Amino acid sequence: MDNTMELSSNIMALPCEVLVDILSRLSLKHVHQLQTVSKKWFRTISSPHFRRLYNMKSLNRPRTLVVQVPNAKYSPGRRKMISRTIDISTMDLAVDNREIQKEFSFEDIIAPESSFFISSNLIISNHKVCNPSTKEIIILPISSYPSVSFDVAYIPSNNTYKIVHLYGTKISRKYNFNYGGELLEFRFEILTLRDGGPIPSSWQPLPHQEWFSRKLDSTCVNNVIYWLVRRGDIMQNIISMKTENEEFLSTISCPKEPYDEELSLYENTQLADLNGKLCLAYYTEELSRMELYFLKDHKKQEWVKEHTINLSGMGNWFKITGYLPLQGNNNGDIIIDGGCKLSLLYNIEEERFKRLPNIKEITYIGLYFDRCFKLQSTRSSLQARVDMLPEGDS
Amino acid sequence: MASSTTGEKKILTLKGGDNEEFILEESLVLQSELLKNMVKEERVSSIPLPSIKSKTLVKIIEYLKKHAELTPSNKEEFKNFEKEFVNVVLEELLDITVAVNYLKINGLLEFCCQAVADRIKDKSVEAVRKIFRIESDFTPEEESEFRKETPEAFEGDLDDTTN
Repeated sequence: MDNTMELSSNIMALPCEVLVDILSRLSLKHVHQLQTVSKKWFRTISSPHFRRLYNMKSLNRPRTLVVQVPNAKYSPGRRKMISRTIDISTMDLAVDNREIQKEFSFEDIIAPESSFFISSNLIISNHKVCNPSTKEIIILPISSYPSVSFDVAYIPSNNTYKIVHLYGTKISRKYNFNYGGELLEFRFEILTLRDGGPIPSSWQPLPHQEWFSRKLDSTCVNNVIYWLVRRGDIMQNIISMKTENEEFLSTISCPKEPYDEELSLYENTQLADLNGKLCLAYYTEELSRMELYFLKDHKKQEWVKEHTINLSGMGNWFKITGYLPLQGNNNGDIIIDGGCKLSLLYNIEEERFKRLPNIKEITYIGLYFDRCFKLQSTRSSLQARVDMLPEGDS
Repeated sequence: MASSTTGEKKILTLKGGDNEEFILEESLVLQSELLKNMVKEERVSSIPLPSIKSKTLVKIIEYLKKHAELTPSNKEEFKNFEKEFVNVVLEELLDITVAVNYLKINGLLEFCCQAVADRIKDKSVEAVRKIFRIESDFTPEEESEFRKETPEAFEGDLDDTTN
C-alpha cells in the first residue's frame, strides 16, 4: 500500500492527550528538563491542563518530606536564635531501599514573631512561604498579630493553594500559652496562591470569629481545614472550614474517651489526615497507646474507634504525620514521628512497626507530593518565544 | 449489513491497514469502547481500521483474548503476559499505544502509557530526542538560555543511553 510510510509511527504521531498521559508519569524535575525536547513538548508541558493533570496523578505517588535543621546561629550569649539552616530532603517509601535524598537548603532568618508550619506541601516559616517542589521562597504579605497558626489546603481542580491564618485579637496576649481556661477571641484571614502567582499583596480577612482558650492541633483533609481547640479547662472541640468556598462548618465535639481525666492532664490529642479521612488520635503516655477515632459523619458528629496502636517501650511523644497507601494494595502505612530521630511506619492491618533510618537533626517528616506549581511567575525567554507561535505549529 | 452468526456467537471481521482480515468473536471487541459503539449502534459485521498495521492488530487481539480469559486464579499469569506484551521495540510499543488510544481500550491504554513512561524515565533530553526521532526546533542558544534561567531543573546527571 502507498500509505505504509504514514503507518510507521513515532512519538510525534501520539495524540496530545496520550503524550500528556505519558509525561505526567515522570518526576517533576525530569518533566521540566524535557521541556527543551521540542517546541511541541514545551507547549504541552507548560500548559495549565498538563499542570493540573500532573498534580492530580501525583496524589497517587506520595513520598515523604524530611526537614532537618543542622545548625543555628545565636545572638551573643546564646540568648536568641538569629538564623538557622533548613535542609529539605525527600524519601521514597514505596521502594525497599529507603534513602534520604537531599533536595536543597536555605538560610532561615528568625523573625521577631517566629513561626514554622508545614501543611499540604508548603513550608511557612518566619513570614515566608517555601514551595519544596520548585525551591521558591517568597515573602508573605504582613499578617495579623498575634499569630496562632498557618494551615494550607491544596485544591487540585484549579491548582491553587489556600493559606488560612488563625490569629488572636489582643496584642498583649500570648495565645499559644493560654493554659488557663479563659476564652479568647480568634479570627481568620486567608491568602489564595495561584499557579504562576503573583502572591496577593494582602491577606483577606474573614468575618467569622471563634471563642476558645487555645488551639491544640490542626490538619487539612479533602480541602477542609480542622482546628482542634480547647474551650475552658477540659472541653475539646473541632472547628472546621471548607476552603473552596471559605465556609465554616458546624463545630464537632470530640469523642468521649474512658481515660478522659488523664487526657485532660496531658496535651496529647491530635488530628491527622488518614487516607482522606479525619482521624483524631488520643495518646496516653501512661498506657503507651494511641487510640484512633475516625469521623464517620460530620453532621451527626459520629466517631468510630477503629484502631489502637500499642507504643510501649517506643518513646514518650508521638505524632501521626500522614498515611501512605501501598501501591496496588488497600492497606498502607501510617507515618509516625516519634521525636528524637525516631520515625516509624505502622501497618494497621498487620499491627506491625517498621523503623525508618535514623535521621539527624530532624524536625519534621510527613507526606510530600511532586507538584507543578509556581509561587510566582518566572517567565522564561523560551516561554515568551513559544507563546508567540501559532497554535498548530509543532 | 447483518451480523453473521456461528451457533450462538456473533462473528466480526476487523480489517487492518494492509487489508489483512481478522475474524473474531464479537464479544471480544466489546472491550474497545470505539468498536463496541460501532457494533451496537450500526450492527456492522466488518470494520475497516486502515490506520492500524496488521502486526499491531495481531498484538491487540492477542491481548483482548488473554484479557477475556482473566480470572482470579490466573492473575499472576496475566501479569506476566502483560509484561511480555510491552516488551517490544519502542516503535512497536508506540504503534500499539496509538492504536489502543484510537480503539479506546482503557485498561490497556493505561498500561501502555506507563510502559512508554518507563522507557523514558531518567533519560536526558538528547536521549529522548534520539529515542523518539524528534528533531529539536530550538536553537542551541535558546536551549542554553533556558538552562540558565531554570538551573535547578538541570542539576544532576541523566541517562544518555537510548536503550
